[in-house]
Order: sequence, then C-alpha cells, then structure tokens
Amino acid sequence: MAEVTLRIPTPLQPYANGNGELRAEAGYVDELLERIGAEHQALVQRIRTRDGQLRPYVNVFVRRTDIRELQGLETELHDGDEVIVMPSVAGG
Amino acid sequence: MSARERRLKELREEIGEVTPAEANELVDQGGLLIDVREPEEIAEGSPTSALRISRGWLELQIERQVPDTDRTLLVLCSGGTRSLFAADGLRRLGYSHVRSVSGGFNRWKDEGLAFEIPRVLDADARARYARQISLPEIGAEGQARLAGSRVLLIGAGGLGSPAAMYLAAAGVGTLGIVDHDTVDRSNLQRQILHTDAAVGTPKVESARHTLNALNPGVEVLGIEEHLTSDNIERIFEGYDVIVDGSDNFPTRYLVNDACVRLSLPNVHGAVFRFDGQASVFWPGGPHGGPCYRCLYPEPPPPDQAPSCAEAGVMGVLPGLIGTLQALEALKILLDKGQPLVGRLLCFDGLGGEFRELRVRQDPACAWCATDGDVPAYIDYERFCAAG
Amino acid sequence: MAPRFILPLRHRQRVRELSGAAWPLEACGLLEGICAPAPTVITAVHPFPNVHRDPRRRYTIDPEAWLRLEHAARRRGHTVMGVWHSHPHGDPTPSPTDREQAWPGWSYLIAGVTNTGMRDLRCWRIDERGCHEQTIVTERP
Repeated sequence: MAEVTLRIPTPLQPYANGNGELRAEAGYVDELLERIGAEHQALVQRIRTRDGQLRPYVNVFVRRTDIRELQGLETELHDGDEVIVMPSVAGG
Repeated sequence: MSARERRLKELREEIGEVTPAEANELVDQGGLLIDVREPEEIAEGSPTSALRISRGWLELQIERQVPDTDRTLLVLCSGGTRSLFAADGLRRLGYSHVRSVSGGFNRWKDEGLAFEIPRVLDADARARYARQISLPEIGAEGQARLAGSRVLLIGAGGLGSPAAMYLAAAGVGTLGIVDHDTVDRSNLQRQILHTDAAVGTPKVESARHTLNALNPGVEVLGIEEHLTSDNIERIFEGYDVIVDGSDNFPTRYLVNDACVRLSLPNVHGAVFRFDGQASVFWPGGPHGGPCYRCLYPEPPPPDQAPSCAEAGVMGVLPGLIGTLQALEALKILLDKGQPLVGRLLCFDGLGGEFRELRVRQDPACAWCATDGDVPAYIDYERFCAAG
Repeated sequence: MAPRFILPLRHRQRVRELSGAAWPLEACGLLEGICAPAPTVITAVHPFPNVHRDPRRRYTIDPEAWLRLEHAARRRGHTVMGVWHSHPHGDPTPSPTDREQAWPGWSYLIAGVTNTGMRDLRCWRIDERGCHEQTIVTERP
C-alpha cells in the first residue's frame, strides 16, 4: 500500500465535491480508482467505463507519465506519488 | 603620402590581400567570409555564404560567432579599404589567419561570384525590435526571418488575442486570423484584441484594427470563414505555424488532422475555468512526437464537455496560455530552443502551479502513426457529437 | 495615414451578400457617403451590373449609371466616395489593374470572396505613391 494524491482538474472537480485533490492508500491505479469510487462514484465514472476501461478522452498520469506508457491501470504506485487526471478541454 | 595611405600600405603588407576568386576558393576549404559593411550596403547584396557583422560591432560579436581563432577569416567591405582596418582588429583579438578581400564587394560582383539580396531591416525596424535583436538567439537575421514568416491563428478569442498581440509586437510579417464571429460584450473580459467600441463588429476587422495600431508593419489577413474539411488545406496553404485557439472539439480535431497531413506545427492551447494547457503537436517535424489524437484519441461526449460559455473561464488564463503559444510559435519560426513537443504544460491557476506531463506518440494512433498513407478527413461534427 | 472608413453594419452585410451571390464573378458598385475631410462615412452601398466582358477577372461600372447616381447623391447632399468590388479568388488587396485605374481621393472597398462567401473586407486609398489602407470601422446599428 502506498499513500498517494489524486489531482483533479477543474472540469472534474464538481464530481469530487469541489475538491482539487484527494488522498488515498492504494497499491495500483486500479485500486486507487476503486477506493476513490466508493465515495466519489460520479468522478470515477467519468474516468473509466463501467467495464473498467479508461475513457479515450481522459488521461491518467503517474509520475508525470501517461499510464498508457506504463502498465495502464495495473501501474504500481509508490508512497508520495501524484496521480493526475487530465480530461481533454477545448476552450479558447 | 598621408597618414592614412601610409597605414594602409603597412596593413596590406602585414595582413595580406586575396582576390574575390581566391577568397571564394578559401571558403570552399573551410574559410569564413565576413562582410563588415553597414546594413544599408548589405541590403543591396552580399556574398551568399558571408557572415554579416558591421564594422562597429565586429570586435564585440566575433568571438561568439567564431570561437575558433585558427579559422581562416576573409574580410570584405565595399572597395577593400575598411576591410583592411577590420582585419587588423581581428588580428589584434588573436585571430591568426586573417586576409582582406581586395576590391571588396564591388569586385566580387564584377567577377560574377554568388551573392544574394538578404532580408534586412530598415531603420524603423531596427529601433522597434532593438531589445530582441540584441538577443544572440535572434539578432538581425532572426528578426528578418520573423518578418518573412507567416502564422495562422485559429480564432481571435481568448487564446488568439494575446497570441496575436505578441506575435504582431515581435514582428511576425503576416498573421492570418480565422474567425467568423462578431465581437460580443461577454468576450471583452478575456479577448484583449477587442474593445468596447468594437462590440457587434466582425472579430477579424477588430483584430486588424488593434494589431495594426500596435504594429503597422504586420500584414493581417482576415479569414471570416468556418473551417471545414473542404477549405482547411486551402486556408492553411503558405503558413509556417498554426496556433490553435479554437473553442470547440470538432475544430480541434480538424486542425490536428490537417496539420498532420501538411506536416505543419500545431501550437496547442486550451483553457477551462482556472486551468490551462499548452503543447506543440508536430509529428512531421524535426522532433517527431505525438499529435493531438495520440493524447486524446476521441473527444468527450457533448454532455461531459461543458464549454467556457457554460462553465466560465478566468480571463487571465487564456492570457497566460495564449502568450505561451506565441512563445512556442516564435521558437519554431526561429528554430531556437526546445519546443513543447511531447510535453503537455498544464497550469493550475487556483493552485498556482505549472506541471509538465510527458506525452508520447501513440504507435497505434489512427492518424499520425500510419506509414505515409494519410487518412481522409472525417465528419468532425458527427465525430464529436457521438459518445 | 489614410482616414478611417466608417461602414455601418447593414452596408457591410450588403457587400457580403452581393459579393457572395455574384461569385465566381466580380460584383461591383459605388459607395455614397458624406463628404467630410475625415473620416470617410458611408451612407449607402449601391450595386451596379458588372459590364466588363471578362467579369471573372475584371469589373466595369456603366458610366451612365454612375452619372445618374452622382446627380441623385448630390440632391441628397451626399457624394460618391468610391467604389466597392469583389475579388473571387479571396484576396482583398488591390490588383495591378485596380492600381492603374484608381482615382486618388476615392476609397476602394474590396471584398475577398471564395466559394463559401466573403472571407475578408479591406479598404484602400490608391495614389501614384501606392496603396494606403483605410481602417474599416463597422458601425453597429
């Protein structure tokens, strides 16, 4: 188990009770989303589909790297890691 | 014999002269031709391969340009006199192989050797851009390069406004602006190209008014059209860099796809409430890297993509991101520094933090990872309406 | 700098409509306005048939129709201030022909038009020294 911070950008903050970050203990990204989802179901629904796939318009970065280049949802987390959720935005 | 003539005679003997043809041959063997004439003279033509530093700046700038003091230097002026004094100055600085070109540029031209009319700056331009010409990364040459450059801005809104202002101020010669909107009072909180007096008028007109008031030397081309698959390649033709400041997903995917097809750098910026991001997508460029679709293969469904109109945006945010886009565009035009290729720079306005996220080219990207076979455009409205 | 060119929004829209409708031919007409030293204020945009034999590349306004407008405008206390026409290839800058045929003191309003309509509108004073852009200020109704 690692203690990590999930960073939530403003488009998704309404689904996390307005929080910009949430802290949780988890060993893997998958597990982190599971735990966060227990309390913030709407948030996690916007990150992954019902069958557990990452949505194509949302990226998750661990240690500044897209988890698609790591082990995806199986990416291991370490103490102090920052997990950043980055949905696509188009505002100009 | 006057003091000047006596000194010239001495210098001729000490330094040694070469003919233009001999100088040209020495250049082929690794020598460097230095044209020490003034900018007004160089405007009439200068040998193609010459380094151009006017006499007054020679000793101050030469070390940065030519660190190797053993290199053969061939100094050229208009008739072969000033170059003798300039060569003497270089010799005193420690350059060991210096020659003066006899007859100067006049004889160079008469002998039919290669020369070009370089893009040079007039006195107004030298005054206006003095603070950036003095940057070694830009110089008079970089400034002239900007004057010959063309940047196309997608949108004259929150991002396009500051980007266009700084690009115009910096002296980019031609700015194209694609926007078919008119100025609304609700735009003014962030779209600093437009003024209260311009409410209700076309944005391209208002933009031209503001940009030409700032810098009359910039050619502003308005394109009051809606970008579509049919017109995008015609509109993009002739531009060096695309700055995407659009406010909707169909346009972003269309701009990305056209940039990939045409190998154009796509300087990306986006804002939402207090957040912003910037990057450069340019898979066809010298740095490779991802395209927008590598990062986001699909747009969000419309119900999960609230626009700034609905969700709001802090006016300073597009100001920050748009100026970053201007900087990236200038770096690309000047070929200096490291563009934001493969990096997504994210700014959290409330937290006051920049974060850099790494983005790689997706080997399975449906758009940019294909081998030479460029896909055809799709129906972008439908693509972004699905979900 | 050339004086500003005040164009009410409905006249701008008229130029847009007429230029778009004429594409791929050149649309043309005259600009009626108030003869003040500066700026140029436009009070009406008059369309005229393009009577040139090559209307894809050139335009000509029938001189008689022009004369009639001169008289009518004078009765209203106005003046013919210049010409408007469209460039069906999209670039609203004066062509060599525009430059050769220009009258000093007149305003030349040029609409750049493509198959999707007017994409840009610019205005020029043209004399022997060259083309001087007049900033268009579109006045809201």
